[in-house]
Amino acid sequence: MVMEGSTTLLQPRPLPNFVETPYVSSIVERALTYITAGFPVHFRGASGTGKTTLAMHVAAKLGRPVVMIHGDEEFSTSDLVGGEHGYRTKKVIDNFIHSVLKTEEDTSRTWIDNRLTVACRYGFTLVYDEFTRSRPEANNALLSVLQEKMLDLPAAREGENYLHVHPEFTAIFTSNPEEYAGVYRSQDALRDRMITMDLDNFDEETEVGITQAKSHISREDAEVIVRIVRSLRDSGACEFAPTVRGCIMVARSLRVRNASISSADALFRQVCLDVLASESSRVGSRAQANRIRDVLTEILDRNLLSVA
Amino acid sequence: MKSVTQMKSLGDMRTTISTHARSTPHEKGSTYLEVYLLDKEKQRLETEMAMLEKRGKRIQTRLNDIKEAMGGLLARMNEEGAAADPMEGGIASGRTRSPRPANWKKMSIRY
Repeated sequence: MVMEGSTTLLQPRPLPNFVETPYVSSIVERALTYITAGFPVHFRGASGTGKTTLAMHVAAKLGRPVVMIHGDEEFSTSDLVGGEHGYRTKKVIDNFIHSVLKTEEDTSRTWIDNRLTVACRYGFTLVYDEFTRSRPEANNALLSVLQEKMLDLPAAREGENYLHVHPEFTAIFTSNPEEYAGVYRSQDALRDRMITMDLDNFDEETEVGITQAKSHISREDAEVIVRIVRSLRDSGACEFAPTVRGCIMVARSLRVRNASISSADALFRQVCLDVLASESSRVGSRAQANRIRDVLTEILDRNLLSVA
Repeated sequence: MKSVTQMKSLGDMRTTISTHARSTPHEKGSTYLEVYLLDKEKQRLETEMAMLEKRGKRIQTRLNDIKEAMGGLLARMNEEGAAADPMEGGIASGRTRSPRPANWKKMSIRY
């Protein structure tokens, strides 16, 4: 027995304060061009570069129901294609004639199609977020889906053994660089079948817009915070450059405490040190932390002086 | 293929009972009794024949109704299938019809 109805379809919609600057529009337009040409798109970039949001935005522009998968080390082919989960038992007791008792029992395993199969069958948009967090062999099923437009189905599944991929099926992938913790190397053959767009941090205008929209602070304050974060990023002192998420964390924290961005407000300095210094180092060694704190203090002095 | 009910079985065999064969000769002077018994059987079979004719008419009426209803339903299924399933006619067409996307759970996601 085959079940498909257990998959939930997503309908991505932008928030009212979604920031669509020329930088964002340019990326989205290029991605849509590649998809229209028949190629899956892969957004690759460091954390905080907006990969998942861009993937959702592109999926929303396509206007098809979305099926989303988040990569995981525990994933196997059955997590993508489907598997046998549970049993279905049927028992018939026939006592129509009172002196005759006839019983019949039938037990069968239930096959449940997973998200990749459902997306391929109905032409939905598949967003495979952080796909390199799954082991490379778990993604083998995607090779034939993307190239031959055909999905191999296990023999245990009743019915057909091959599924033609729906012409409107689209796949959007996102991934972190391979040096990130918990990330596997992407399959060369899989990467060869998709168009990879390397994303960098947003431009300043977009970062200011996102910070303001997500925290509801004034544009002037957002500009100062973004300037500080970008200065720290450009200093080269950080093991991991702070991202727009750092800007949002600082801005929201300040709004909660009604703190102001000025050299007189010690809270702003402390929040910046807490958020930005820790975010930019993985190991957390005291020497590295002190070095970043020194750089950040110097950046804060310079920027707060210009604010005052 | 013939179903079990259409196959020949033991009931169709010619036996001494079904052919009314007798091992003992008729007794003399029992003609009137024979006529009486045959008349009784004739009445019974005529009644049974009349009942079967009525039953046959009812069965034929119901079969016509079923045929008409099935024709309408199959035509509607074909129309729906052609409109909603572009894979019709492909490898997947032999499977049991799956739930329509409209019947599936949906969740809005804001980004």
